[in-house]
Amino acid sequence: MRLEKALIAFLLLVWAPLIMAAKPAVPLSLKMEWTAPVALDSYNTFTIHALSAVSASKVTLTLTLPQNVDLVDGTKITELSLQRGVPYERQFKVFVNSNAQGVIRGVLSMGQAGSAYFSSVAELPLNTGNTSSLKPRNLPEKKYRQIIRDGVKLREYKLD
Amino acid sequence: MATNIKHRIYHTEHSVWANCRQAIVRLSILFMSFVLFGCMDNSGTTSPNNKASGGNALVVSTDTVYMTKISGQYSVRATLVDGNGVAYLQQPTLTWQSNTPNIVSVDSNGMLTALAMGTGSIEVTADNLQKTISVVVNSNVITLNGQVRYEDKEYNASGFIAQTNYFKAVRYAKVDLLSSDNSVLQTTYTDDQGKFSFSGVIGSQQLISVSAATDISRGLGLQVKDRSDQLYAVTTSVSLNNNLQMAIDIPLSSPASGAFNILDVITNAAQFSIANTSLNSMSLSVFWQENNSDGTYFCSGYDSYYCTQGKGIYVYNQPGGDTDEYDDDVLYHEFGHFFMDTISRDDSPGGCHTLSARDLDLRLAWSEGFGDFFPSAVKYWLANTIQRPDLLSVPSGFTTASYVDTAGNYAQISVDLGNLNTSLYSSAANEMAVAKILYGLYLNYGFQKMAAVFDQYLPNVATPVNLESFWDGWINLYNPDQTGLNALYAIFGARNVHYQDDGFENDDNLLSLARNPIAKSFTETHYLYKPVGQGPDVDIIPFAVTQGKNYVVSTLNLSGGTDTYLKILDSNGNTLLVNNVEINNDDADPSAYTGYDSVCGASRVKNNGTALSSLVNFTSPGTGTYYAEVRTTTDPNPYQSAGRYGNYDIEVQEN
Repeated sequence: MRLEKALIAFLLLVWAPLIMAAKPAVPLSLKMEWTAPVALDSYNTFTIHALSAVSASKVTLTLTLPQNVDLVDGTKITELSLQRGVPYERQFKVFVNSNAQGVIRGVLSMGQAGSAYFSSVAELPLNTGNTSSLKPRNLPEKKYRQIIRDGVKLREYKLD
Repeated sequence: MATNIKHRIYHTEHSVWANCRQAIVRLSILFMSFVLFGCMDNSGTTSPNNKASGGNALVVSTDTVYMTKISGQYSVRATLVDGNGVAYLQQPTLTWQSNTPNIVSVDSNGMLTALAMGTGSIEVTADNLQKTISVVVNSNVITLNGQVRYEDKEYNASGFIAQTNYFKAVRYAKVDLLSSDNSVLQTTYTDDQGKFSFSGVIGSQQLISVSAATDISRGLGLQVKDRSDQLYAVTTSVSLNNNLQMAIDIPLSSPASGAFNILDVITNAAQFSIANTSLNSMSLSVFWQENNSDGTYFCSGYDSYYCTQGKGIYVYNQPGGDTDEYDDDVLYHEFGHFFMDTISRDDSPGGCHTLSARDLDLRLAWSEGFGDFFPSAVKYWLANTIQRPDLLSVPSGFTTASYVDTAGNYAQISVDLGNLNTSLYSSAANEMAVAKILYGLYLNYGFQKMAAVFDQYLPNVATPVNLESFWDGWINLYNPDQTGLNALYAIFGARNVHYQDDGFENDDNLLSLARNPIAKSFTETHYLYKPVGQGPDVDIIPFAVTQGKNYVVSTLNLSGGTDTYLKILDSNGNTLLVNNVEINNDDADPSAYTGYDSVCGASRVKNNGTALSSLVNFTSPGTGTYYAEVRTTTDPNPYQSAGRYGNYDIEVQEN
């Protein structure tokens, strides 16, 4: 028991002093990946990886597809049952037309009785080489200057 | 709930374009506001000299130039924008001319030179558009009245709400009047409305700088800096309307707006703290900048990786992902840690944690539970106690008991402390249960009474600081009568925290024992609790034995960080010896006290109900009644992560 206490103390010493207090972590995790490089005018398959810190029978996976991408296997809204700490994987097949562009967005969400809600969002770019419409319009440069004024180091942004 | 989820999904489907549109609209509004502001006369109507040309407009950097001395110079800029307020990449040639050449001259680049005292004007023309700029050359003392605002993001349980022109006052912030060479001429601070004033010989060649630092004379030593310890500030040329008023708006498109929201939130939190405790002032630095992926956390001191600027709050920012500079509840949460570090003692080991874990280190659950509660306390105070709901960033009527953390524009965590599931969030080892208990105390007794325990009791306790020691402090300071205790039992008990006698008391010794033996394979629940100074609680549980039979006696389903010790007594109340070995056990499976946390990706202590339970297995040497004696661990060096009180079940099995 002493050895275990020493181990715990060691873990805490290594871990604890660095961060006094972090914000609460999200108990859901969603990742998405293509099983192979995306081919246009073809069927493609991607895998979702879901993980929950709590066992939940009603975890909703919502997929949002960009234009010219059609889901051919699976549904856009899927209810999952996740076991605490047990990774969940599932594949979805889509048809990607030649003029498709953008990202497939996945939202894993869990609403608990008692007004608690958790979600995790993942995006899967099509990577078709045609993403120009996704680029935001050029915004003004966020310029600032570094200056010391009256002994105070400033990161000063010009408004006009 | 279902409606909320549907609402979120709708937003998700449109988020990429919504973001794009939002940016374009904001940029347009910024330019159009500039146009309108520049063209407003005293009556608030559009100036007739703003001639439209196919939707185009000529935007100038100032509507009126104030110059303070003859030969003084000032540069005016003009830009041609389209109907959406977007500047053309190819700008036309501008033509400048003075309407009053005896007062002011202007060259082909828009550089003005004052020639005489008086009032005049210049004109700039391009693309059949014309703009007139007033010029005042005046060496008299004037009073400039200004107001500073920043653009905030409003949120509800689903995340951020699309808003435009959601501006709030920059309160108590440092404002410098600068000369054209950036030396400080005067310094003042904004008031509660973001207003400030300067008196002097003030002109357009001078600058105003607003820093994300509050007025220490008000007890607010608050600063928002980047990760290189540089204080955030914005600067702009002095630009006055005819009433010598100046508006400084910091839009969302400026990264500085995030810094000023952080300043606003910690100002609220500091004012709440000062109003409800013995504190007279609070000084805190927050370190934030774009592309900071280390996370959001509070550091009580320096370390070379996470806490490189020493004590303070460090704020996360991953553009397009999780950013916290507008997540008021996350900022209040971290301020809560700072508050406790300032006024009390925090023994938390820190590290990763989730709202739903019911097996946390009790010190961590206490620290984070306070952090989860603190946003609701501050927001309730703002909305109800001082009647300033305008200082919140939520729609009217939205609960102050919420905790919302966004990623992108959407909530990734959204919890309502006012309506919290009971079974999921219970135990002193669950941070939301701790938060809910504190919230209940706050609503019933007020924060000042709680703060006295934080301030006067907790710093001096010999035991770890957790919910148990807070309870001890409350009892010590307020010594409630039975009615008061019952009220506390209701608040704590609703979260399965029972710092009270169970229904079997007084069962501390055989003499006072008045109960029948527990049935075989039957489980009953006990609470380990005795008020401070009254010795450890001991539970004596009788059970019938038959010579030669095998018995397994165990504590199980430990809750709230309970750490039991179990000993078997014979029918005379002496420690049972079998083959000269005492039948006792402290921890049934201590190797299970650390385990992997899949969210955190690391091992952590787990008050999981089994690791620190106790179990004995023996063959009875006699027939009659034996006794299970259960108490809190007798280890002279108990786990600091576990508790002294708590619930457990006991079971006797005969084989």
